[in-house]
Amino acid sequence: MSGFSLVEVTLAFGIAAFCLIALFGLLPVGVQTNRNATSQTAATNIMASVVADLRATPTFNTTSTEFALTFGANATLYFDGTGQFAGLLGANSRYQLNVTWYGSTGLRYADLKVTWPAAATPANANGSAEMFAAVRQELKQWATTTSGL
Amino acid sequence: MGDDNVRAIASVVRSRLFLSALVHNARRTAQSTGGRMGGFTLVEVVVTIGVLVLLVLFATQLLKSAAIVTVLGQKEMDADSQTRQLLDRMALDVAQMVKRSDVDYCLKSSWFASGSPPAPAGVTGVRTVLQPGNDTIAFYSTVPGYYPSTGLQSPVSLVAYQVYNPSPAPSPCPNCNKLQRMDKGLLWNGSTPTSGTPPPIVFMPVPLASPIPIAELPNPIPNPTATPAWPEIASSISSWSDSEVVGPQVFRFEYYYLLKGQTNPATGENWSPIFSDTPWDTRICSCPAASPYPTPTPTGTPIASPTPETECCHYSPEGMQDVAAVVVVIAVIDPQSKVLLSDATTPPQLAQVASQLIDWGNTACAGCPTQTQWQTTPGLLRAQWQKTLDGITNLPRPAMSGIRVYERYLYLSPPTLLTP
Repeated sequence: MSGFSLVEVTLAFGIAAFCLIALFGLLPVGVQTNRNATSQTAATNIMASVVADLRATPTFNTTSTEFALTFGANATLYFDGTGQFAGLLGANSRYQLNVTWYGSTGLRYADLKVTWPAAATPANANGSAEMFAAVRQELKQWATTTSGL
Repeated sequence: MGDDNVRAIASVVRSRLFLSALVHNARRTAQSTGGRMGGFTLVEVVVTIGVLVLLVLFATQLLKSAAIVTVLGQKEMDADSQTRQLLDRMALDVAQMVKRSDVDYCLKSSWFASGSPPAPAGVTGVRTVLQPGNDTIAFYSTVPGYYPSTGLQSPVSLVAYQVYNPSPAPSPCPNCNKLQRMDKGLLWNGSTPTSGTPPPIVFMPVPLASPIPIAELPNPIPNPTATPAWPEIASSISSWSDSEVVGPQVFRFEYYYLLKGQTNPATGENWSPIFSDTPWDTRICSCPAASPYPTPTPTGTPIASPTPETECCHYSPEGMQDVAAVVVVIAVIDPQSKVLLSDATTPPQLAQVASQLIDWGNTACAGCPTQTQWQTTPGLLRAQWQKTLDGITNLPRPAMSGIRVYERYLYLSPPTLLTP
């Protein structure tokens, strides 16, 4: 009829706690991985919309319409979780986008790199996604409109 | 590798031995000192259980917050990846759009969501397509489509997008409030729209979906005027043929245009690029009646005989020559948030949300931007929608926070097939 002593039970708990701590240690890793996957998806969306904006820039403009990126001028933008952007690091910023230009006139190349967290320099970032895009500002088109008149 | 394993097992065995010795000692000590037979005191049990409860509580909190973070991430990723697929598809369709002045387009053309685009003096009957609420867009594009089983397939398809929201809605309606894409593969055949066989790509003056106003028709005006080749596109009731649900999470679809801007050929004055809901630059119609001026040509060589003033203006898409990009704004709700909204109400709660998201160019609502703001500020519609969503209080908050708004500029390549 002998039960366990308090020392035994405490010891057993100690071992259980040790195992649990190891298990809980995995939790942040899982959450981090999940967050990274989300960030990767968001980053590709950000880059796609930036490229779309650059491509859609009318000849009349030297800067793009949506993100106000000047052709040929390197720039850094900050994006929040909903995809809104700002020129300066804010409280909601989650991603940092760096645009680096190559080439002079005509066909230019833009290197887009999204890194997170936003406050970290690209070299110290947790994760990143990068894309290289060839952009040519549309040639000025004049068309006479004589049909249907 | 083998050595490591052996070493690891040995260390486990050693620690086990150490533990059992410890336990054995402890038990012996307890027996020798207390001489108590078995069992815990109530205090011991209470303390142990108390500690256990604390531990479990702590662990549950940890798991709970981890689950919340994961679910949020999952919802975000759901919406993001669907949007990415959809917008890439749209970008491809729009980039491959057939840009000719002798084919018709089914596009929004209004003047600040309220009326007819301004027409030049002496011209009446400019096409007005207001499209309040969800928009519809249809055009020819050189992408593959659903072809009829027989016949010679052409590289051109009829592509159209809409959020299916018929009135009255059938019950049940599995495809309601979802984005539909029509992709009708066209054949090389000479049939007419009314002959019963699938029509091929049709040229002016046969309209695509809605009747063409007199101002756009060639001179002399055909009599009788042709009927639309695909009236189902403009119909608010029928579900489209040759279509699929391309965005099951997209419940609000709105678009507007980014115009290239022009130089007034008469005065050299610049009209800078603006946003518009008319797919041509209405400012060009304000060309002053100057004394003869050279017509700009693609090569820049002046034409000896000057173009009359009216020809410097146009009032139809004319091969989308004034449009640099179609800007698409969509509202997306992920499936986990969507189930929180009821379909049983009339209209369904999702449709209620959609109706609160304003049209581009709306200046009539409280706190709406002005015309100039709409024309010059990028991302305004998206910001307005986000503001509206944040302000909705009569619907479940978790569902509202699951709605994400996206905007994308769909680039149009310069027209290469402009016909004189």
